[in-house]
Amino acid sequence: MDRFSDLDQETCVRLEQCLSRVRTQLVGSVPPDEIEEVLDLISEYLATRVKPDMSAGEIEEIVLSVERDTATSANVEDVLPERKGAALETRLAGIPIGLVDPASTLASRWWNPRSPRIFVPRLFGIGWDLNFGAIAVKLGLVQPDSEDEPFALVPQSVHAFGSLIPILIASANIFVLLVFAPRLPAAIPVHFGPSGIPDRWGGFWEAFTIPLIVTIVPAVYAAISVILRRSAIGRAVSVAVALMLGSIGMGITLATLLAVSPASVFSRYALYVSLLAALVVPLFYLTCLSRIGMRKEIESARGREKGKANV
Amino acid sequence: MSDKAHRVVLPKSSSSVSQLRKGVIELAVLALISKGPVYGSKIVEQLEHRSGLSISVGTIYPLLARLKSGGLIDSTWEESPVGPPRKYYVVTKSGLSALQELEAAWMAIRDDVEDILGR
Repeated sequence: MDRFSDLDQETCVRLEQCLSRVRTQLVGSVPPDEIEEVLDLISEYLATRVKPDMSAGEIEEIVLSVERDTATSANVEDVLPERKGAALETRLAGIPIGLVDPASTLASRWWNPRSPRIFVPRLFGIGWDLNFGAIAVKLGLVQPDSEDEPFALVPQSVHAFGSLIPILIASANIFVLLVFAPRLPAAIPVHFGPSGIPDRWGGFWEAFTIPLIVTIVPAVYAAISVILRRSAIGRAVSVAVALMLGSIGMGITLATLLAVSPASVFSRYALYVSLLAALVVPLFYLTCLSRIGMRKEIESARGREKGKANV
Repeated sequence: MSDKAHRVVLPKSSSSVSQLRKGVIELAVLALISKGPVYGSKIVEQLEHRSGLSISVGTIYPLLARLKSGGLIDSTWEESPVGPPRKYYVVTKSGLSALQELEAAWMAIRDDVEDILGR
């Protein structure tokens, strides 16, 4: 094959074999119209990695790693280590620290307005990521090309303000638990059935460990992302994910507290509302950021034009 | 020719056909933009009725991003009479020379292939 032109016959056969194996692995996990594109990237990758003077063992290692990675992930970003994440440099107390930010490729799956696909297969785990960018475009809230690079021009102050919201949710969660913990009965609902009615009961920590974790941990992670000035999309999406999980965690806390209160009939509505909020709040947040980014882009374009006119 | 006939000639799912279209679409889009400032969905609209080239929004926006980051096109913002401001794309100097190169290559390919096909 001419794409591996400088390699010997035997190696070419091995690489072609690898590509055809990868192809069968991709079928089903990657949309049919993207398979060729992915294969192109992989063969390009193989062509640059595999050198004519390499031993058979070295080549085999590269080939096997590609096959293994496609089998487990079926994602271009995962298969091609060079494309994984964006390298970025940050400074802590004036000292530059090189960081690879794998979160930025992960994050772009949550906001990719250029793609019309709403459900994106998970990078790891089962299920899909939600492409809020595609939802915002479908709802007419943003245009696919509103920003050249998502959130790139959004000021850090906006990210900082945004990261406070999940912190507030987590604090509110801790606060209501501190207030109500002394008054709780010994048996608290720890699990809700599909209709929102409690179907299992247990103690305080069994009931509130999960809601506390899902509100606090993502909120702290998002705040760290913002403080470390990770990639713009990494900062935006970590806050959005914290908002999503924070809504759910807060919803579980409120539903649990309501279930043991005189107003127990409202317990299930707390769950429904929190699930709705888990979708709407991150969508609203990311849309606002994107529109701020767009405004900044328009402003800077105007500025450039004016600069040109003055010359 | 009816739509159906086109679909028989150009099955979009076929990988070799999509390979064939890939480079040509870049040429077509670059050529369209070179005719004057145009926005993304307008390009899709203009290609929609051409069954050989019709592309989806899922293809055009990543392509525009690639062309822009490659310096072949640039964008400006224009107020729209309806709705929000729109991003219009224009061809840059290096985009124009890339277009000429692609066009020359396309002419040569077309002539050769038609010759071999015996048209």
